[in-house]
Amino acid sequence: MASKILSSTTLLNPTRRSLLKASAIAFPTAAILTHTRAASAADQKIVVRTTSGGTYGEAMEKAIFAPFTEATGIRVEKTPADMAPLIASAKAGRPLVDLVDTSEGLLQTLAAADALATVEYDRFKLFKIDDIGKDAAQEKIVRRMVYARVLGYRKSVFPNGGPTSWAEFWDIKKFPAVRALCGLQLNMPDLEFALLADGVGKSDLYPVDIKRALASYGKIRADVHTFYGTDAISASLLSTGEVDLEPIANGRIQPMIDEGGDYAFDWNEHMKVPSGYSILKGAANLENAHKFIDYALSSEAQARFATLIPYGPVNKNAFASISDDVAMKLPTNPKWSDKGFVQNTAWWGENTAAVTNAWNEWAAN
Amino acid sequence: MSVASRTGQPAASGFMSQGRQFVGLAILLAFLSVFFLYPLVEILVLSVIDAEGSLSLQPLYKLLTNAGIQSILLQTAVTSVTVAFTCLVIAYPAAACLARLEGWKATLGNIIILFPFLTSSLVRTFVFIVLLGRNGMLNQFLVSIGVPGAPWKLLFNQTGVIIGMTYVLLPYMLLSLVGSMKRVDARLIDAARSLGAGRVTIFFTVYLPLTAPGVAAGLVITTILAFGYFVTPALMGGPAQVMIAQLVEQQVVIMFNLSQAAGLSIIMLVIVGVAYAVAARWLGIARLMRAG
Amino acid sequence: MSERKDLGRAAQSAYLVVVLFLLIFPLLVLIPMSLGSSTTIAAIPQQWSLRWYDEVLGSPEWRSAFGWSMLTATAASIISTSMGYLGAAAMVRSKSRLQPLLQILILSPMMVPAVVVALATYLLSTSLGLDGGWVAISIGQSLLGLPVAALVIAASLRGIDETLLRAAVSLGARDRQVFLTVVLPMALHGILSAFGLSFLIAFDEVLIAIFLTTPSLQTLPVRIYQAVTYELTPAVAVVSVLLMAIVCAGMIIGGLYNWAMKRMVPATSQS
Repeated sequence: MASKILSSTTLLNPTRRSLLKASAIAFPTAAILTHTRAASAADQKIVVRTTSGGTYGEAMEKAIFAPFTEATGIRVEKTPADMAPLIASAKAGRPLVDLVDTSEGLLQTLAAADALATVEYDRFKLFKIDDIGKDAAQEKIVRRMVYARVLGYRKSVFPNGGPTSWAEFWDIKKFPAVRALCGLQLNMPDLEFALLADGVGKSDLYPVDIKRALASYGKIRADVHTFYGTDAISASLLSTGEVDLEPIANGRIQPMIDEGGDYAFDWNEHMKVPSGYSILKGAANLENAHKFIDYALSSEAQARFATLIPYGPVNKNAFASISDDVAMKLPTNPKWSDKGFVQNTAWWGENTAAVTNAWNEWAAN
Repeated sequence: MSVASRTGQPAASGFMSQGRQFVGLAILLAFLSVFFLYPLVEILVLSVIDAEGSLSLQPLYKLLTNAGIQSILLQTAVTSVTVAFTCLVIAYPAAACLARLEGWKATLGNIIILFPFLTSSLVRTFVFIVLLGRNGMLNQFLVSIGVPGAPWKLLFNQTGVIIGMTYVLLPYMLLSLVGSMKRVDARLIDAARSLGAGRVTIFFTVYLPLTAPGVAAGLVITTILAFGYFVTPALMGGPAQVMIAQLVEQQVVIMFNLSQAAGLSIIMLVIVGVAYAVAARWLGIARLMRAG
Repeated sequence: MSERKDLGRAAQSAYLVVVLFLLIFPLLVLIPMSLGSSTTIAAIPQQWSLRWYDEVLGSPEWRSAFGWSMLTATAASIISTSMGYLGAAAMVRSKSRLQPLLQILILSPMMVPAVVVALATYLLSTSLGLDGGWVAISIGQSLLGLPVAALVIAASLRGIDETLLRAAVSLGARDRQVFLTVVLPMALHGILSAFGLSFLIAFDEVLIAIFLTTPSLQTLPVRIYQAVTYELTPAVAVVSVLLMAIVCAGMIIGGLYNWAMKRMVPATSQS
């Protein structure tokens, strides 16, 4: 898929682009250097591509970057580079960063473009493959957290309890309410939920039958108030009372509940969306990159991060040091982790174009 | 004011020597050619190259025969024209009144019209989302005074898109109309009245035709602008309200398929070009340009 | 007869007031919206707080977005105004048959849908190897402002009384002197307006910036777009209110300047 992406942009010249991108990164607009007193050891550093802003950036800094630098003396340089320059620079043999911290979907794109190095799991001392599971310990991607898309609603609309499955969401008669579904804009529609509502089992979801999923969407289309295009709008739809019931990211609805809002959600049939780390091919600080992954996946770091932001840690030992009320918010809590499924980012990576075209046709009718 | 500006004739040379003017023009043409015309040619080229890299009309043909794209084009055209006429109907009486104002009232009016330009159209659109929602200000008001059918669904459908786009484009229409209305010679109205014409007759036979250039220019500008809009339909429309500019953005930013984006752009350009040609033919190019 | 006319006039004025009010109202709503305390937006917040003002003013991302916007808009309007002047001079003085064609050419960026201009700029920047830097964004934005600048400056140039120019020439002034001492001062109002308008167009422009944006180079509209799509908090309302305040301040200063000029220079022509 990524090769198709790259070949259609035949106007791009990798070498010049990577040179210009490297000099652009030198401009200090968003790259932040973290310093630490403890670093008596020479200039040990690691360059990470990550999101620095917002609640996520803050949580990463507090829970992982800063403690990592204290513990190891290795400086962390953050940069928000795009995927395309990362790919180009890795191919040119001089990768812009050592480590990439982003959604697995984007990491799959990097992998398909042959820009990633193989992860050497025997270097890790602070966790074992067993702790995080075989699915998480992929050849070039180390999954480190998941957020979940769940069924969220306003409690006042359902005094006797809300829908507990996607089939029930689809049941307009049993649960009359103003609904929203995810459409196609910055997000992709939740085809998996449509299939689950249509009776497909969790283990048969992939490869997704796009036609069937859209037909399932079509069944309740007339009753759907809006097909929202972004996560931010999904939160505002609930908070302004525009809709009563919708799929939503747990990281969006949880803060609204924490602030005292009258919302609830169900963990049943939730979809886990994974994020992970990868190392770019030919990374300059290969050993530090492995040390970082080692640290970040350790149960303490995972627990600390999960406490700051309700994303599910993949290291199951982390739950030992997480308090109960925090654990209630996490998708990977062993109590309900099995009720959900993990989104197949590889399938989505290959089929984004197909889904987009199918959706455009369906939507216009 | 010089005779020149009143009749619309160009003022005589004397700004610079012939040579200087030529150089200035050459610089401008060079700038436009390199930074505008050349990329447009690139778009054209991209749109007629098929998967193997040879020249062919196949990709354009595929786009034009795609049912989804056809309905999106239709939707875009219908919405644009509807929005333009809605703007016209709303703006005409207001502009007529505005054109008559003088002094501080006129300045205030102009400031208020210009002000929306100064805020991001994006922000104005999402304020609408808050105001027009089921529990938004407008619906709360309608429900409280017992309007039938309230709360109305004003968002995520065609109504929402039309409201949103009319709001954003109204200032353009107002400015265009006021511009030509100010040029209406009041003596012509007086003359008609002294000849015994009633108000309605005066309006249809004197005022309206005299303001036609402004009306035409306003309609053309708003239609073309509406045709290329993507923010408002994206935020305020439902899936059936997708407009063509959203598709182009999809192709560039999400799918990285520049040749599809180029193909869609060429189709858009052709449609817009035809619309202009028709408008110019019908109304006369000179009047169109002068009215702006 | 005149009573009916007055009623008619009154109704029309009332209508105008309503229309103008409706134009402004959504902008006014932004003010209470920006003072809400929760993370979700509401037209009339339940709790008031200045926290989002703190966040935006203290945030390096918003500040750098503002800085980038100022940079590209300034560069774009310099280009638009200068190119617009050249175009206006040509449109106004040329008597050749090609003049309508020239007019169409100069106005063409305005006639092409914005998304196509954005795509064109994107292609341009990749083939020039500029890679979405601020230079490419500025050039694209200047294209959008060029037609407006040309139209405004042309209107202003047309207002220059021919006889003044002839008088200057007959007094022995050379072309350059005529330009600097007669044309430029009288066209100044138009040139400044053109600069202001193209600045606003470039500053508010979203599509070109989206196509060419990278995480390290975001203009303000792009940042707002991202905020509306990723983190829909009152911060967006705060940014808008701050921008409106800046523009208001600019308008007041401009108005005062105009007023002062009128007082000091009683009898010159107005553009």
